[in-house]
Amino acid sequence: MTELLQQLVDGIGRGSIYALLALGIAVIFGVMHLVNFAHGELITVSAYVGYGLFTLGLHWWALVPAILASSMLTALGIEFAAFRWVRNSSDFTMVLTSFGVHFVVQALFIMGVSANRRAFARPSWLFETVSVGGVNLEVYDLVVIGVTLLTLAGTVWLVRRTMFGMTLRAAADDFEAARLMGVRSNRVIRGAFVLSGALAGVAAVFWLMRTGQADPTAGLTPMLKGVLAALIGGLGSLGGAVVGGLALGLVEVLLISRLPDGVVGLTDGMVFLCIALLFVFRPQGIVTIRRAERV
Amino acid sequence: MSGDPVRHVLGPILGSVALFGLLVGGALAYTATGGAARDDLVTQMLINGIMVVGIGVYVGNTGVMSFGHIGFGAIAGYTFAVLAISPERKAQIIPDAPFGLADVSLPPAVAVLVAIGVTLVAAVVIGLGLTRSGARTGAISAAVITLALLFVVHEVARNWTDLTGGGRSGISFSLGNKLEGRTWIYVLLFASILVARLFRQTRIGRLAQAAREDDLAARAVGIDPATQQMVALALSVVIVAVGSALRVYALGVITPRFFFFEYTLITLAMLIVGGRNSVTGALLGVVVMTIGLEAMRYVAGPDVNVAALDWLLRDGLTGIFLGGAMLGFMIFRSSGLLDDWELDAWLRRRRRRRRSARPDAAPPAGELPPPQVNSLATSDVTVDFGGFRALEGAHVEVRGDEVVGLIGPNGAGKTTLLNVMGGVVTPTSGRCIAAGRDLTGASAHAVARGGLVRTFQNLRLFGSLTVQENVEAAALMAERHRAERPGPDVESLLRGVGIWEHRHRRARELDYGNARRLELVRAAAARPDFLLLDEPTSGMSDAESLEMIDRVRTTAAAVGAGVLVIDHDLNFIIGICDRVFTLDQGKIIAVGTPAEIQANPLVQAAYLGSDLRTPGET
Amino acid sequence: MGFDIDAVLAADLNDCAPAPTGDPLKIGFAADLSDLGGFADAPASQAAGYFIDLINCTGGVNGTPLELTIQNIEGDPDVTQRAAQDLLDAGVSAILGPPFPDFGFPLLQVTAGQVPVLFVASTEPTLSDPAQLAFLVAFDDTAQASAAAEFALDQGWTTAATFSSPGPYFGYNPEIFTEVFEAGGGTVIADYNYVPIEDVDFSSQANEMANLDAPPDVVYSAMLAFQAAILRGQLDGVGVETRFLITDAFEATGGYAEGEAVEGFYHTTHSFPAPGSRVVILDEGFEATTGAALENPSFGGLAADAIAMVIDAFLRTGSHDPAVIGAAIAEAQGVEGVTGVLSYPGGSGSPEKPVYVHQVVDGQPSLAATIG
Repeated sequence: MTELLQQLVDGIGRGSIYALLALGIAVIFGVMHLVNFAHGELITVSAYVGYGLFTLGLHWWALVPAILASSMLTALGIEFAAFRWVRNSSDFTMVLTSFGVHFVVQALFIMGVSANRRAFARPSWLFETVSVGGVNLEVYDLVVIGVTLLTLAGTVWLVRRTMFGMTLRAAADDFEAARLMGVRSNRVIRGAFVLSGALAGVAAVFWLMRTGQADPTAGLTPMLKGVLAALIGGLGSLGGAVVGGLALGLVEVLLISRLPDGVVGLTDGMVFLCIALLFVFRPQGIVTIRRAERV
Repeated sequence: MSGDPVRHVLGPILGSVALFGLLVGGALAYTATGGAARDDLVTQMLINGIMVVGIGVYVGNTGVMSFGHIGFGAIAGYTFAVLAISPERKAQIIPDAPFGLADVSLPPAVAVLVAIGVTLVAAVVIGLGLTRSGARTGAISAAVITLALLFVVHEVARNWTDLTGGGRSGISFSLGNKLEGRTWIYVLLFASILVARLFRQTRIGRLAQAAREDDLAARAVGIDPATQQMVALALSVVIVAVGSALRVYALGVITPRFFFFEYTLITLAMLIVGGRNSVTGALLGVVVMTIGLEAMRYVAGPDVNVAALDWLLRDGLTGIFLGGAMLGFMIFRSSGLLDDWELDAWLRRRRRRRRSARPDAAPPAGELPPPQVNSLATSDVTVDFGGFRALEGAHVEVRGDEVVGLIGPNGAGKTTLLNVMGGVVTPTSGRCIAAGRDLTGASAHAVARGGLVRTFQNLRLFGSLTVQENVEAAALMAERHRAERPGPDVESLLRGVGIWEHRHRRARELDYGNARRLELVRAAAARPDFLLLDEPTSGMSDAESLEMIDRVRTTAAAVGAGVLVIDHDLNFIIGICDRVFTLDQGKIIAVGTPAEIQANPLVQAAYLGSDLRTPGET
Repeated sequence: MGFDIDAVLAADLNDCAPAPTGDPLKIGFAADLSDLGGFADAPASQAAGYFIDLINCTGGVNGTPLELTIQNIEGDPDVTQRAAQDLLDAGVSAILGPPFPDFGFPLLQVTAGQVPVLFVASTEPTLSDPAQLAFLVAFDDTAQASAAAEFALDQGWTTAATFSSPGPYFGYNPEIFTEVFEAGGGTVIADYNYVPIEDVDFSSQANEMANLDAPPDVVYSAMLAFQAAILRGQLDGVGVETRFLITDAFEATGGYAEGEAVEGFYHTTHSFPAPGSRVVILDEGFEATTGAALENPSFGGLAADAIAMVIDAFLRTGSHDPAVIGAAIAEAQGVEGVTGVLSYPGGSGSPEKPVYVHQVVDGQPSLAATIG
């Protein structure tokens, strides 16, 4: 029982970061039907910003706003440089565009910094643990879960209570109709990118606290987790993305402790396989993807 | 139309020979003028050519996004390597190989055949999954399923160390025991090009392309893309398997990374840069990307030294080129350099253009099929969307020799009723029976094969196919699935609506009126018993829509089909219909001749305030 | 006259002997500079260039100048083969190779036993094959993991836990460690799986370890430094007190930049930077010349070792012919290098060298033991 509770907490801690990443991917998918495989680049950029400022001697708390700001700006910049121009193209075109962005950003860091990883220190409280009734709670996990809840609450407020949120939801619901009704597509899409950048920024802060590493492929793993979580949640659904993130975190923790030796490395593959099976056998269950084309 | 050997067989063969000749000629000229590193480059380029042509057979013909072909390549590559590496070598690197594979030693050619077989099994499984998920152009489900394949294969390869040697060292041939010379590569590259080119012209290839252009419209004329996609996948996977085995043989080693993300994206970049809908384009993309990447490697290499540009001319330059090429082409030219250009097709078009175009002759009076005595009837059709009742007990009947109109105010349920008949919407209750067959709830393509063919309110043509190919796609389906029923040939259909002279233009280049006419004859080419026309005159001028009355009647008569037509243009409805059904709020409120309907007070009430007027009345 | 490595290291690049004019001895370096292997090959290629400048500054090798050509293999097997062929076309007498076998094997397929290949930073035993003129310059994983196990036994540690992942390096090192450790009377009480390079959260494994009856005396793994740091932090968090012994990946992937998090760690490595040692002289000289220190002095030293091996073979044979040089390298005995003295014991392509065990003390390496 204690063990299960322990894994529950571990899983939710992990899953919170995935949820933030997935939410950012879902927001973008909602407004422009793009599966953004360049979402991880926001983490990569954040990592280098963090590393750069840290080497200048700044404290971790000073890095947080810088990382958030740079992540949002990068999201906006990528939208401006790449995604804006393929907005009404096929899904195929948009997905490949996002891979193009991935290659360019990665190469820029190889060129400008180095292919080698750069380390910076983690915050001192990172690994502190409190024990409650036999369950070890990492302070980090508690902070992650708390901040994630706050971020989600903020996002819910934004989406439900503001004009921007309403247009965002309208666009996610039916982009063409929303545009016909006068939603300013430029503004909505830019706003969506800033939102996804902010969410990725929060995730980046936590991710980097743990890894303390900057390298050109730093964003690859978080991107993969985010995409997997968003897929579990149905891609366009914001609530689904959060659920997907938490589910992915829990599944990983459960698999790692239960899988026999030698197949732990198959975790991502197994999750991917399950998602593929979901797409094969219950395509109608994944609502937003299969919203029937109007005939 | 399948009896056009120049277009379907000879042209592609000559085109393949020319393409292969150009590619190999250029490559030989390049290797003749430099060191042995150029040989390596050419070998790799030609192998990548096979891979990309193979991927193009699937992606190009079906339009389905695949990130999984390199995953199939990994399966083939490992199968080949495990079977072809000598037992002595295996004793060193994978002594514990399962299934007694450590002692197996096959000649490379046999190992390739086994690899193809194993990969095909995987392809069938994935293919069934793709079909089940509704793979079509732009379907994200297909991207996810294929990506899952890539990841699963990669992780299995990384972790099943007994068989694969694991993550970084992989399995390798003994030194010197790898592919030397390019004879096999030439032969297999030529074979791949030829197969890819010929496949595009086969019945299956052409139907796949139609479905690529518009899945829904293809189904509406009776094309079920599942079969075509499966065949295209199998064929493309065979070519990819061959290419992968060659790649492993040429490298002398395989590790999981060699067939993963980066290679997937490099090959996809090659495909899209050249143009995924053309074999020539695929190869051009391979050449362009190879030259570009090699040029970047040279510029960033030790032979170029510009101190001031040192920061730029460094590691990462090839990544910038690869990503930049993907971005640039996606943004500025997502159909690639060549789109669907092929040499022989281009020459044929030029030759034709020089011949003066003869004006359309009068539509030849093709032998009329026997008049149909069938009828199409829906009975008590009710459709609920969530809480909204779109149709309630709707009953419509059309005889095989009449034109029937269906009118009603906006939101009355007209298109929903058409969707029920067309197999797009399954009714909550009620039946749809055509020519004695119950088609209720049948899938769209089964409905079309059963003799009910529809058009679409918002025009769904196979945009990049020519006018003639659009109609041929439907005719190909009819030849197979409506064989018992005669029908007019493609030429007389096209002449009948006056667009024969446009037959070689792409459908998307047609003006609106001609596009509507094309959609009409494409539906007719499927030899329907009944044509269901959804607003065939929307967007047309008054003169055009009056003319359309004639077109519809002659075309329907030519195939011997009854017609059910929805339209807002009452002049058109009154002019064309023998009888008219009126829908309001999901219920049929009146049936009768056009004159009776105009006089019906219920109809007038339903149209309250709108322009239900007799033609000519002011 | 032979080759005096100390004189070379002491050379002043601002005050060189007249440039040697003989037929140059060409050495190629197929270096992995845009990928993970860059951690070794970036400093190695810089050091190689500097070392060759020093040699030429002292008048070359008996009047023969050295020429170094660096080709980036870009973490791509196709490019690796082209880069190797470019080097062969340029007429090199020997090639320095990248650290990982997935590019090492394609490289060997091109050189096909005609040109000697010295893998500067690789510890992969399967890459060494004198019959194909393929050599390691560093000790191999068998030596490294055995040394770690001996060290652990010497310390009186009797229980260990390993973190591993199937396959070479990440799996092979723990496997050999377990073998030797248990043969010497120790017990490996648990082996935990993880995903190398990617995993950033070990709380599951940490909690499992917390449930052990007693924590192991030492955790052995071939993890990257940052992963080891995270693991340590999480183990601390759940109150598992143990020691850490990591392979050479620790220093290679920036272990000393991890600060407090890795204080007290032990790791195996290729050289100890004792004041006045050749590794330090090379590193300091490089820094004085270029203004920046080598990212990793050990790999710089190994690159210089590889060049010293080629020079030794050249001096013994007087030949530029790669096959002749390769055959001579296979018989190298007692070659003075920067990280130590190198010999290939009969028929092996892995050098006999000491394995250094460092402990991180106050963020600096401190020599804990020299094995072998």
